[in-house]
Amino acid sequence: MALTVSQMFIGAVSLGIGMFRGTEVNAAFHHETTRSHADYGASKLAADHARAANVVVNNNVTMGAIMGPRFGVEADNITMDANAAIACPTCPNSPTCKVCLQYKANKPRALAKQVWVRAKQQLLWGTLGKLSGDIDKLSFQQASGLITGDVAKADSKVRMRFEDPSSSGDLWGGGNADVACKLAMKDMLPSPVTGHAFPLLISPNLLEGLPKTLVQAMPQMICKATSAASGGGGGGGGGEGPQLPEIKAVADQTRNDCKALEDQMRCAVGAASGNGGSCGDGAEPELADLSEVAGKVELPSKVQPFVSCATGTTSAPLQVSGGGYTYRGKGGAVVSCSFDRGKCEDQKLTENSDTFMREKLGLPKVLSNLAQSLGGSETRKPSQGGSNPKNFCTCAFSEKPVDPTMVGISDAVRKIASFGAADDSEALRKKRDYRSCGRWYFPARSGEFASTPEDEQPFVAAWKWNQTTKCEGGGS
Amino acid sequence: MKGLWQDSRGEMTTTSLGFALTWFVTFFVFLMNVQLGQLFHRRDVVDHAAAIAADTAKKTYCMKEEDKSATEQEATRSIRNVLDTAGGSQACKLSVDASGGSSDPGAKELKVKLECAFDCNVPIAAQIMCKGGKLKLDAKIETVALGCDGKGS
Repeated sequence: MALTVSQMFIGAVSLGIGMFRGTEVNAAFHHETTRSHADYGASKLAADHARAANVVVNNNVTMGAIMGPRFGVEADNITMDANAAIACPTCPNSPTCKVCLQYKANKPRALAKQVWVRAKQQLLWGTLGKLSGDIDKLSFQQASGLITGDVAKADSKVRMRFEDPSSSGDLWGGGNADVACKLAMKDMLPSPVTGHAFPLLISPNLLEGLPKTLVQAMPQMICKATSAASGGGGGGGGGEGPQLPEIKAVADQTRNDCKALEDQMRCAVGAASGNGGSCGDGAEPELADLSEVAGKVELPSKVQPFVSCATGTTSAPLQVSGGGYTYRGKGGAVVSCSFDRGKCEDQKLTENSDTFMREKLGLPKVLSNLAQSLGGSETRKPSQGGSNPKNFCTCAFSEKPVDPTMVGISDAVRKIASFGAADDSEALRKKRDYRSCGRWYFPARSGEFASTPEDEQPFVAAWKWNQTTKCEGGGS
Repeated sequence: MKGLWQDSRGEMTTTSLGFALTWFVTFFVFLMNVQLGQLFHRRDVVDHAAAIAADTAKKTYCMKEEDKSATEQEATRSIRNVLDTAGGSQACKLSVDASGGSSDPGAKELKVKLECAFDCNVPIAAQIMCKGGKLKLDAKIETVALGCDGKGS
């Protein structure tokens, strides 16, 4: 009897231990399966966002690809117009007049091409740019629907929720038309499209080299690219834009502008030396010695950039080419300041050429709304910039209550083992959200794309994704 | 039962003596059962904790700029609650070791090893079932961390 009772007791203890262990194993299994649903959700979301990132990249590349031909056609048209501006005033007697006749005969063809390429470029930029802006939202909507459906099929008691950055703003909201145009320009320069109109439509080209120079300048002229962004073009004319010294109006304007500035300097020097007299009469440049004059020369602000001063020594005597003034500086050394006509003409030629192209040849005026002028949208880069923006991260959460039978067994065994002292398990009843996150990024730290410049990363379809425990800077 | 208690014929004494060994064995089996249950539970917990640690290591190794120590800290933090149910996280040592890359420049193979040495504290059974009163359990899991070719977190 006693033996039977004791054996029953042992049996009961063994059974209790076994059942309790069963509940623990079940809880661990519950934890891992529920978390795996969150892992699946985060993987799919991040993978789809990475794919969307590469779609945006492809859109950017396509948008850049159409911009190149536009640069070539625009440059040819401007060059043709400039040729006409030189040749037509010489008609009918000059041999150069034939360029004008060719221009009149062929301009409509060039113009039709220009209209077509502008329309195509604006159409592509408008539609693809909009798609780039919306694709992450669409991607999230589709992925979240699929994930919820898949998990429901596997276990209908699991509830899924998501924290996705596409629901709170544009992920690819930054504009980078300047970089797109820079890349288009680099592609276009060595291609046969640049200068294709010569000699096909006009021969000879009175402005040899201008189409190439114009293509180099197109990122600034059309895409408002900064000089920093458009560096590396190489070659071409001086200054930071095309120069058209062959066009009489531009050359005359440049000469007059610089003469006016030099006259202003002469007036200022005259005023400082007490000889106001005639300072704007076109006299030859001369050097005024102001060593005896206490007052300093008051140069107008427009003149100052073109005045350069140097100190003469016995080993390096002064070499002054233009007019100006001299004085004795500290230690008695002679300091000479003169008007740098070469620098003035270089800068003014660029400015006047730009004005001429915008006013006479129909180049777009300075843009106030870049996206609008390029077709309603731009090429895009991450709103937060960089290769690994903090908001390029999404999280999936899964939740499922522990099976009530398991909770009941666990409670009962604990209660028996503690002779009724144990409370119901809070750990098993606690509502748990299992979180898993995924981020997408450009592989900028190692591998074959590590040397890609940051501003060109939105043009390289190498965006990848991986899993992470949480999103920094959002997405919890 | 009353007759047995009065023990007029020495039955109680002989019966007790006769059953002494049985009682001892029964009690011993009971203690071993309790110890066995604890061992099974700890085995499950170590396996489960290693799985969680591997998952955490996979997700944090690249985010922590491939810092082994930071990854181990993060993984240890994630398994603390689980290990507390089996004798405490102080009894365990977690190591995460990278074992070279793979064809993907951002992928790093990781070996996650969790070694635990728990005290066996069920009397008598501990001496028989645990060597030196300690139970050593370990779990090794290999996984792959992705994303090490992106800039840190």
